[in-house]
Amino acid sequence: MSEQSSGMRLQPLGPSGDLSDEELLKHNIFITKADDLINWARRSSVWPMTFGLACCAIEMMATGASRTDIDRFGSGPFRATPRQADLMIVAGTVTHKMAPRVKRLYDQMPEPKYVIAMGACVCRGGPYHKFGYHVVKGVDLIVPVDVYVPGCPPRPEALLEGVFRIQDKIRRERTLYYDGQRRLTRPAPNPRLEGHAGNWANGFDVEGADAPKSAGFIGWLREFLFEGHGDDHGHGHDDGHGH
Amino acid sequence: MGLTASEIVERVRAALPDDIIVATEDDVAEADETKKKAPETIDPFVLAKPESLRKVCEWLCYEPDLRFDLLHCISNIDYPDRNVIQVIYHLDSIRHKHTFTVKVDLDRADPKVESMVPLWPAADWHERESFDLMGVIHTGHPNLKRILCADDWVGHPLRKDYEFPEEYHGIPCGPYVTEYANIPPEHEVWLKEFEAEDAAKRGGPSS
Amino acid sequence: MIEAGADIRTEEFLLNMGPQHPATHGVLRLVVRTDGELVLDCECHIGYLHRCFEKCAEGNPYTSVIPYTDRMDYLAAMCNNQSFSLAVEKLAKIEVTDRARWMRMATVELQRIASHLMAVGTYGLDVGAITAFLHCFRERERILDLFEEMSGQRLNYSYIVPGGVLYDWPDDMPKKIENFCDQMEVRIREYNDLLSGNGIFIKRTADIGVLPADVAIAWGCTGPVLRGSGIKRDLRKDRPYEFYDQVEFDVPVGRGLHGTLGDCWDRYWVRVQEMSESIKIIRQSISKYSTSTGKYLTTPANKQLRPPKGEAVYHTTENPRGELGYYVVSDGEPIPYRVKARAPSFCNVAVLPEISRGTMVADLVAILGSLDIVLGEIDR
Repeated sequence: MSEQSSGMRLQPLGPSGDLSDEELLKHNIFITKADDLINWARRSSVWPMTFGLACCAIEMMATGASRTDIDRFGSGPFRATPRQADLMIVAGTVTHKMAPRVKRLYDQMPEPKYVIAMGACVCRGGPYHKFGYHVVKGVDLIVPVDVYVPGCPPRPEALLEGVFRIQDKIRRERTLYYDGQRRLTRPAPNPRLEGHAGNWANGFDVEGADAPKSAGFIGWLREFLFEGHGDDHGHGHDDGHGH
Repeated sequence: MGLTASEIVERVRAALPDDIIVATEDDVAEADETKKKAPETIDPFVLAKPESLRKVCEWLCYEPDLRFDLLHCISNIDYPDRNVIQVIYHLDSIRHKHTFTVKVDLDRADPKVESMVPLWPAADWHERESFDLMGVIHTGHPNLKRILCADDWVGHPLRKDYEFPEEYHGIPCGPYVTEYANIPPEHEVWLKEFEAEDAAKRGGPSS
Repeated sequence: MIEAGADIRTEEFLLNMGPQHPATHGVLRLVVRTDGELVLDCECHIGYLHRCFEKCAEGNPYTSVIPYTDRMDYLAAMCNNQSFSLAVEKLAKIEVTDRARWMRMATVELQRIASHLMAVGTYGLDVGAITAFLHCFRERERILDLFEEMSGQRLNYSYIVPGGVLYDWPDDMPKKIENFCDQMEVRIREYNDLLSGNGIFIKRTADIGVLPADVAIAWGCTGPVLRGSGIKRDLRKDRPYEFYDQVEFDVPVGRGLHGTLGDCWDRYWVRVQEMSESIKIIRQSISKYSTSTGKYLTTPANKQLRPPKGEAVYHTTENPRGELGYYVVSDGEPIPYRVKARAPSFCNVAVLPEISRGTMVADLVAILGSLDIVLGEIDR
């Protein structure tokens, strides 16, 4: 491995080198897939957005407080702004008055983004399903939901389990070579929305031509590794939403 | 403790005989019947005439030994069979520690009653809620608009004949539409039976 | 040259706060008209959590309404259960044994402590003190453990039902509650060290958001908000329900210790003192419970109640946030004809525009926190 004066031109380390894995480890080098590395970093710091709406928000606070310390799993920093968050925990009943705000906050979150529907009301309307004229019968009518956590309200442990399932989901993703893979792990729009003309789901995952080129570290890495070929295959969604 | 509610009813009857609706004999009989069944459940109240509600409330608010300074709550009940919307003012006195109830019957087609905001500022939000959920128009209210439902909501939900919306801004809603959207036709018959049974249980046609 | 103190109009600015804002305790939306740092006016927009309690209550049997009352004031679910149960008991003429009443009183007072712990903890969080929040949650979790043992739920209990309580207490429950009371007395001193006497905290809250007593009454404020303004009104004393006339406790009122009477610190201090009073009530209730007899529930919990036609007395109880009233109307059917809830926070937050005019934007959060609102109850 040599560094030339004509710029940062690193030779990618390959497993075909002379050294065995054990020898590399002695030099504090180990070889892994870039996806694994990126997914490891992403799933160890799933930052949620404080999106407390009702009773479930109290249990969400309890999850972050003394006893079930969510900080142990990297999800401690509850961000007050959607721009810094990866995970939206919709905790509490979503009403029709609140629905446009939920959708907007979801749109403002940068990719990759995940949604946990916490509580019965958010999953399907809960106790307000029949007579709640003002209650949205499931937040999946508004935003795509990755993990449903039932309960009224769910215990803090249940919410932790939901965060683990999100982490499992991230573990399976392919980020580097084909960024659009996130489309495959993202849930499809709710079939209940069929036939409702102006539905909120129209904005999901538009396979738009104006998807921006990747910025940030992953964009640089892709540029470096594939010298621009990678963008033929994937539409990058790393930082900022594609609008 | 201050006066009991029955004493206050007597005071109001004596002071403002023209402004309250004196019960007819049938009403008295019915009230007695109810009282026999449940002696302590009904608060003594006065039924004010809609046009003189303000006068009654003002008197209750400023009479020195009554002094109802706290408006506790404004309730409203829809009686479609009597074609009446009843608005109920629950009053409370912090100074004398007694409570009282004033009721007023309004026409269901055009429920209008004077606003109590000049007397009790607390009436502000209660009256907005009453307008939002029941459609009572409180004339003279400074800012009478919807408070709980969204601004472009249709209908007044707590009326007994309120119909649930099928869709709101593209979001499917309503009591059954989300759950039974794709049911096979034979189940629709069952569903209708269920709804009819439900309506019968509620004692009248419902949504 | 502009002279000092000359009246220069600067540009006004509309600031939208909420409905998704960490300091609004839920989904309250404030539209604040500001001039620099000053709040000229603020308007509350509520309804972002309107969950149609009253419509749900008109469609469910009496006992099934209890879970909806939980979800109104989800920080004080026991108190809401109790209030509705008392109204239905009056309507349907259900007897409750002495033992069940003492159980109810102890649980409700525990709930009051839990609710005030939440209020105190998040109030510290609002003004920038995060330690008190973690300490308060530690004790709150212990209360929730007790409640979980009684009812099987952590937050929305549906424990107090018409006719008594849903489940009997385990044998060691009185002892556990007494243990908790012993520790809680020590902890309250800890909070006082952390927060009440903290110079920064006093600077942030004293003389801020002064609510004069007449304004508080005119706007229908109740509970610690009203008592913080120096008015000694507590329904547990004034119109005793359950056995509150048989226990001894004081009603703490604001005295303006660190500033003007009725400021944020007074409201906060009333809550802290109420926790100590609640401990007194719990101790007396537990000792009375041990000697009292009777069943914990007189009617089967799944029995369909069919109260006679008529209407309930508008029944009010003292919730941690103020006076909660239920107005239940029956038409002789197993489903209530109409249920109206008078939510204390609904009235308490209405006064916010009155007392926030002329304060700083940063103080708006302190004032809002001192009112201790719960949006589930405001919007219902």
